[in-house]
Amino acid sequence: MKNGFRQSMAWLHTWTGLLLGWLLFAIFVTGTSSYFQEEITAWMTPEVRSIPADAPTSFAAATRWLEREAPGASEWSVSSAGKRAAGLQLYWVNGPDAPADAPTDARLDGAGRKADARETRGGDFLYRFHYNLHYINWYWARWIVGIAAMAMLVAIFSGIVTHKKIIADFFLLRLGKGQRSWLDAHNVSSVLFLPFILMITYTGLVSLATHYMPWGIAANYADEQKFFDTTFPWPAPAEKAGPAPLTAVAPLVERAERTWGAGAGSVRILNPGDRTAQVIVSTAPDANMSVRPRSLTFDGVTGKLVSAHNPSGAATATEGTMIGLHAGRFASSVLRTLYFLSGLAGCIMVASGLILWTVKRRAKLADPDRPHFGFRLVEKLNIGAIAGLPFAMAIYFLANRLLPVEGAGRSDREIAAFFIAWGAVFVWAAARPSARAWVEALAAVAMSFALVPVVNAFTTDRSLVTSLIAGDWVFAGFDTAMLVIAAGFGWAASKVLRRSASPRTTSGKRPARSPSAEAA
Amino acid sequence: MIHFLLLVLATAGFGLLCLSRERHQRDLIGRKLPTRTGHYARWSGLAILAIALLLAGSRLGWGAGTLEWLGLASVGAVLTMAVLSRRSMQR
Repeated sequence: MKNGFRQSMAWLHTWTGLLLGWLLFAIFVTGTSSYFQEEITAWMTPEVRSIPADAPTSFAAATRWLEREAPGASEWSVSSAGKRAAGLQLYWVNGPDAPADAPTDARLDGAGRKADARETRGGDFLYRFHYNLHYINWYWARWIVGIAAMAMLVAIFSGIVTHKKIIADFFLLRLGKGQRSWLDAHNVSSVLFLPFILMITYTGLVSLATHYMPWGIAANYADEQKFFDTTFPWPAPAEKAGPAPLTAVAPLVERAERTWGAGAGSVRILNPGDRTAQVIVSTAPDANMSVRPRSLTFDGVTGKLVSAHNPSGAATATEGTMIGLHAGRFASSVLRTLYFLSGLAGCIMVASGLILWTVKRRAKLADPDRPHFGFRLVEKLNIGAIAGLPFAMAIYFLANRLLPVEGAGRSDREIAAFFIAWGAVFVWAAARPSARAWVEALAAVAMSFALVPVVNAFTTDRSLVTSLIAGDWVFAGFDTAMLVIAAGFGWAASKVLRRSASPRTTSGKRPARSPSAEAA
Repeated sequence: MIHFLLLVLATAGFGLLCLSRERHQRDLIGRKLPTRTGHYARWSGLAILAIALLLAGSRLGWGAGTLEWLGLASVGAVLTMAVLSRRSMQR
């Protein structure tokens, strides 16, 4: 019975892992990159020089800018993604006498000047892709991602059951032994990082729980929006009552930060310049482990505290903390690096699992030179997913530097470049013999990542050398990371090349060795 | 500094755990350890990991500290695995 159980778990592990592995790989890679979302955005908008300023000063400067540029607005909103963000994001709602095409958003640098940055979605695109996908309706995308995450949980638990010797093989990685090595790599990357991998999958599902399980809300609220209004209040501006000068914003932000002992991340001003004005200051996304912000509401004329909002209740706190754990916005630079490395291990786990499927079956093929259709399909999809997505990311970064800076729809063209590059790898994999397609695709990934710092040096004045001299660690770090990733893929390509160049071994095993490192 | 210390502790802890296993002893140090020494290695390895957790919790706060301990433990285990893998290739 026990053997039967383990065998059925192995079957479950193999097929859930294979069917959703390609999508899971894409989710893991883009999700892992999102731990450096702010840094990616900063790199992709080289025009914005982040000048460190404390929150009260920069929020006050942004308010002065809005007073000048959007005086009749019924609402101003200034937000910062936290300490690592390059600049502030501004939104406003124009009053009735503003022209219909008047702008409603802007980005400012830390000194309160408008940043004329190129139009790009930056790291936000990769972040949103990891749960909303792209080009398809986000509602269905989240269901697809949710099914993949559920499959991941199933694969984790069935994998633990299948793995007979977790403790005995804990440290075991035998290299250069074909299938055995792939299995070791798959085991080690999942077992040593199991706490992270379990946490990230489970909390990922929790973060979209109301999407997957709306019945709790449906049973208690007639209208879903009412639930969100009650749980996460979002006051609307009142009827205007007559002009009155807006109180200074900086002291309010200072007071809020003192009250919380944490940084402020956004300031919303309702009816600025009116007697009914209100100033709502909220905590920064990186101020707490929980993602649910606290906020203080002040009278916009007198500056008196009107009300305080703290997300209350054990359930809200648990949910907010779980999502916080997933996103890691609160993380210090060391913890952020650990999050990133753990995410990388997750990528390796998925990739090695996918490759293992083919390695295991290659030995049993009747005619290794003419594998059956299913085997070939998996091989091609593996190449398209494992080499294709990193290639698409490199092309996305290159497109950011090479597309003309001016022009409408620029950010959409960057994203189009991402998907065209990704699709091209699938087409290439389908057209070429698999062993060669692996080498060529991995080499292309290595070259495109290596090109990123080069192109950056020619198209901006913030090259790797300049950044190193200036002590600009975001830019220097990004360029260095590109080179390290390029080296990883270059190493993988040379491994596969040597493997496929060597004469066939008697066992008939000729596994295409591929990216065991740096899959992000 | 504390982060580096935690990484050293995590690696040492997992290194000792690895050394306590009979099948790895020949690869790691070239000879078999007496059973008792193996036991000492195991318990001191576990103790070092526990000390690292206490240190991380008390210095970095229990929330972030536990997370960082988990992350660094994984890195320490990977380093141990890498040394073992290299050693066994050389033999």
